[in-house]
Amino acid sequence: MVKNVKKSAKQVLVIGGGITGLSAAIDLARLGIGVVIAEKSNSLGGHAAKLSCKATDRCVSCGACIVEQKIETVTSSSAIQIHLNTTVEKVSRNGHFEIKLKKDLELQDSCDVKADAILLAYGFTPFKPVKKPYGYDIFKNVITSLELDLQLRNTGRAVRPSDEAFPKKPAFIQCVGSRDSGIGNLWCSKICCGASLRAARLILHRQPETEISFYYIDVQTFGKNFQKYYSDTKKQIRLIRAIPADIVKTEQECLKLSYFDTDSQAYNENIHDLVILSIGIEPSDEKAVLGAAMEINLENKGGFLGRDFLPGGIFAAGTALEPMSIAESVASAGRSACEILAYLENKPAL
Amino acid sequence: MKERILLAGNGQIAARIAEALLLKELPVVLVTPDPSFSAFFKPVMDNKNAHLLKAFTETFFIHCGGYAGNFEAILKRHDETISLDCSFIVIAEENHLRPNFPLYGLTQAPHVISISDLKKGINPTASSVTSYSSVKTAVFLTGLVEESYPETTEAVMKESLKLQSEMGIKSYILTRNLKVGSDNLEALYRKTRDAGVVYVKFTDMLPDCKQEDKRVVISFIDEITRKPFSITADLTIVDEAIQPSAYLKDLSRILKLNTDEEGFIQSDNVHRLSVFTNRKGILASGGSRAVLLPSAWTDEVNETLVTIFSLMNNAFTTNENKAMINKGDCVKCLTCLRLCPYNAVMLNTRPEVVPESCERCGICSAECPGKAIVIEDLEVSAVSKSFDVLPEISGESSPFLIAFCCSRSAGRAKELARLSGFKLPERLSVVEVPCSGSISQEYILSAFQKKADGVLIFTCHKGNCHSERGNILALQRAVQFKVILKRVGIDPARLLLKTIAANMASEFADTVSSFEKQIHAEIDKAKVVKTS
Amino acid sequence: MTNPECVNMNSLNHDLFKSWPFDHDHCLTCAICSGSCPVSGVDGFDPRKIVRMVSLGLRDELVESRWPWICTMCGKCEHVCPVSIHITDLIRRIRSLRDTDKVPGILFKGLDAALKTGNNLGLPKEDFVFILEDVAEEIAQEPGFEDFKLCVDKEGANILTTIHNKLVNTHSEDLKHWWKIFHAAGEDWTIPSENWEGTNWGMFTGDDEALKIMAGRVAENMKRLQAKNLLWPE
Repeated sequence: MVKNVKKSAKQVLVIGGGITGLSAAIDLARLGIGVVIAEKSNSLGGHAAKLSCKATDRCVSCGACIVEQKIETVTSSSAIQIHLNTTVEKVSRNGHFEIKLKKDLELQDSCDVKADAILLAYGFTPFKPVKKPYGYDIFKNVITSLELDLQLRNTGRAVRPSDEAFPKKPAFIQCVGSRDSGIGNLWCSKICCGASLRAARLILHRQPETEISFYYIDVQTFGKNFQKYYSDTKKQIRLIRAIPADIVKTEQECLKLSYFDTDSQAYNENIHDLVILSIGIEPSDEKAVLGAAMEINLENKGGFLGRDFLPGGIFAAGTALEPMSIAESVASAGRSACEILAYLENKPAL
Repeated sequence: MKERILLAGNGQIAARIAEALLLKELPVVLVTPDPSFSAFFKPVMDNKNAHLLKAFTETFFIHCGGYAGNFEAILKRHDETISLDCSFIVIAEENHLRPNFPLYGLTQAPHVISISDLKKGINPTASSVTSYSSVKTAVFLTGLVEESYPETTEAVMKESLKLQSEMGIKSYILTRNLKVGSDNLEALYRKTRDAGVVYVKFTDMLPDCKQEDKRVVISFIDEITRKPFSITADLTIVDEAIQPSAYLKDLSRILKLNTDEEGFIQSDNVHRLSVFTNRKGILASGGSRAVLLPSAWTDEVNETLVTIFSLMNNAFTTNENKAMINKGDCVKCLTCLRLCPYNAVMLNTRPEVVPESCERCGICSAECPGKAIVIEDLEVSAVSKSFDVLPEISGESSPFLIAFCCSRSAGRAKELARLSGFKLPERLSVVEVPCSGSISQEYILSAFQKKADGVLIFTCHKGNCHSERGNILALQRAVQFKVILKRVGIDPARLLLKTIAANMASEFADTVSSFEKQIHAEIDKAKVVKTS
Repeated sequence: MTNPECVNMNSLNHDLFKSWPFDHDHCLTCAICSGSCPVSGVDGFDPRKIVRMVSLGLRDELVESRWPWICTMCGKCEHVCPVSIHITDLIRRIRSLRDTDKVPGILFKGLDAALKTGNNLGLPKEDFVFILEDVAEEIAQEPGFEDFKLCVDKEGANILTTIHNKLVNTHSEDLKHWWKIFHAAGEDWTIPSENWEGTNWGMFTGDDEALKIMAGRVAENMKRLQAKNLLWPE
């Protein structure tokens, strides 16, 4: 990306170009601080840029659209340099940070960057559902919530991968990889109830003949005026308070879910033509490699980052810290920008 | 003089913002209707820069004029009217907590208290401080009738843990959906279970509470065992609904700030993230804008500060191409004043646009019945020029389409569609406007005059318009225009209205492509009719 | 509520089983255990209910109830439990709380017989060997199995297999299937003539002492016959 970059007195390296990194870069640039964004993938926006708008007859404030506006702002800002396909190879300290960035896997290109502070905004890794017995990667019509979002984003409809047909009786299974100390994830991923219920209501809006089931433990509060949203949702979607245990393929690539029905106190089976696994948030896969490059321990709070453990000049924001929504990531980015500003004010220029 | 910030609020978030601003040597004016400032303000009052602080108690807003960087707030304190100049205003009122006694059929009593009461360790209705020594069994009722929030769950869990493990009181938590959606609450749940706190979860059937003199008897069917149980509680603690403070209603009216459905002074609109209101330079923080977890307060305080600092950095942006009212044409109908979402129209002897507050949404100029309001680069003549810049026509038969797009939504979606390699109609002319609110009937007319075969109006989804109602107004105009089209014998289907989000590239591409097909078919049909 | 069945929570000691190391108090009530259980709903049983009752300290109901005895100990529930509650161990522990004479008849009698005779049926050694030989003879009459040979108490075999008592009682035909597979595969296998019982009712009744004795006998057989591998069908 060729861009006339304005020279600023102070410079911050932002690791990660997702919603948090973008927001922080914009905040910092507005404060007159130069920013270098190092993004591992070939595009900005991170996971949020793969989500679908969930508006029905109105916007439901999921926040997915703001990513595009942030990308636009970052790309056109003269105070922000963007390095795509870039990872951090080495960080050394010499009054400030000297960072070796490794660019593009094929070219083996590298570049050196100086920074007064570093912001870790490397985000999260979506839970890999092959670790749970829901037939993911085995049955064609078992997909993840992120894959559903891609479908909705690309085609506007939920679709059965087996035959491209619109599902009539899809089901969502919540807490896949969350609230699960058996696999070391003793946390609620916080965003999945909102993401899945909003997706479910979008499907109903577009495909009104659909009958949607939602298997859950506890529905989490999200968005504004949740009480109203929840009571409307209960009228539209069959909420089943049990996590299904078995999944078996039936005719026409349909799936039989067995669960314990609390009302009738009996074992029950439902046949669905699409099963969506609401996968949780796990600490980023990147942290081990990055931690080694930076020579700091990035696995200090049960896999997530603890602010208190970070050495001076290194800051963290967004889902690197804990599961959070797009809106919360924006606020978290703002906080880190403010902390960085305070840090830089007590530090001489490069 | 340095920029001065007017801060309304008497809670922890307001105090923390004030303290940080003072440390930055920024003058701060504190205003609260309360008789005194809360204990949270001690570090503010004791600050080394306290000479930069002015604090007004028992003071109410009665007006706020001006614009970001130059507001004039009129305040009232008893019989005194105070006029205050300030650069920015931050509303940081606390959430109001309403104890849910009536929801559970209970009334407040020495043995029936709210979570806040318990936290304070006092009993508000009894003359003496409650002694917990006689309490053997405590029941928390939370999120049973109305859905609750993780902060409520957190408070309930922490308090139950104290009762259970520090005071040896058998504690029960009765809830519907256990709100663990916050940092560490799942681990806290486990900790309370290990300590012996018992949870009873409900789905449809709720417990029955009978309040007696010294106790409450709670009976229910346990969903898991299907057995009837009762608990006799010496102490019953009910949760609290988290609501906007009553004062916000006045503030929203006086300061002309939009509210959401519940009454928080920030509409449910992603463009207001995180602390913006519809008025540039007036920020809503903490409990003023939403229900906010204490664990999110530090983020909130810092996000507010960053927003103030960045506003300061570009407080003096250009005033080019803002709306202007032509004196001669204005009939003072005040439509502009009524419709401006940003409060950028001020009424002196006649309405005038404050250029610093104008966001160029174009609602005023599109709606002005006298056509008295001009935004130069959004004039029909300026906009219609861009229709001429069209790609070369390779195939004679491809229809000419003009799409009016809000630059925040459809504009981005188009760009994303282009970058993602979607095939767009070759004779599609896209006109980006700052807000669909500016898409007037003159725009549409000019498009048809320029021989467009089809015209598309793309707006943000309802609730997603940066100008709140620009999209709705644009669609209303377009619907009226369809009626006109029909009357003059033009197929109204040649005008397509569509709401879209910035990230929906394929939806954009699909919409324009299928519209092209449809128009194409119409043209072919018309040709057949003509030749026959 | 004047329901006589209504249990007053105040009278319960929820910490009664707190010391049990089964993590039952961590239950999230997600119901996946009950959804996975092959006998959920049978006579009102489901594993989540048992976990709940233990957490509440409903001792008498648990001990008197049929529910803990409906479980087949298949262990599917604890395999899927997201908070790793040891549900089968928990149920075994509850079963152990019953006085021995109140353990369901067949289990009680069977275990008693097993401890005395080495198998739940109390089948004498000669009768056992006779049944096995009878089945072996029948196999040898089938085409292709003419040289089938039964090896009881063979030393140094590759596989030693235990026998489920049902297979020498009502279901002896079922023995043939896997014996024939052994034969076809050329496997070197044996069956002990004593303490051959594969069904450990010590485990099922929560009687850990009996469990140890029964399991110890199988281990002893392995040692005595110097078998390399143990096949323990159950």
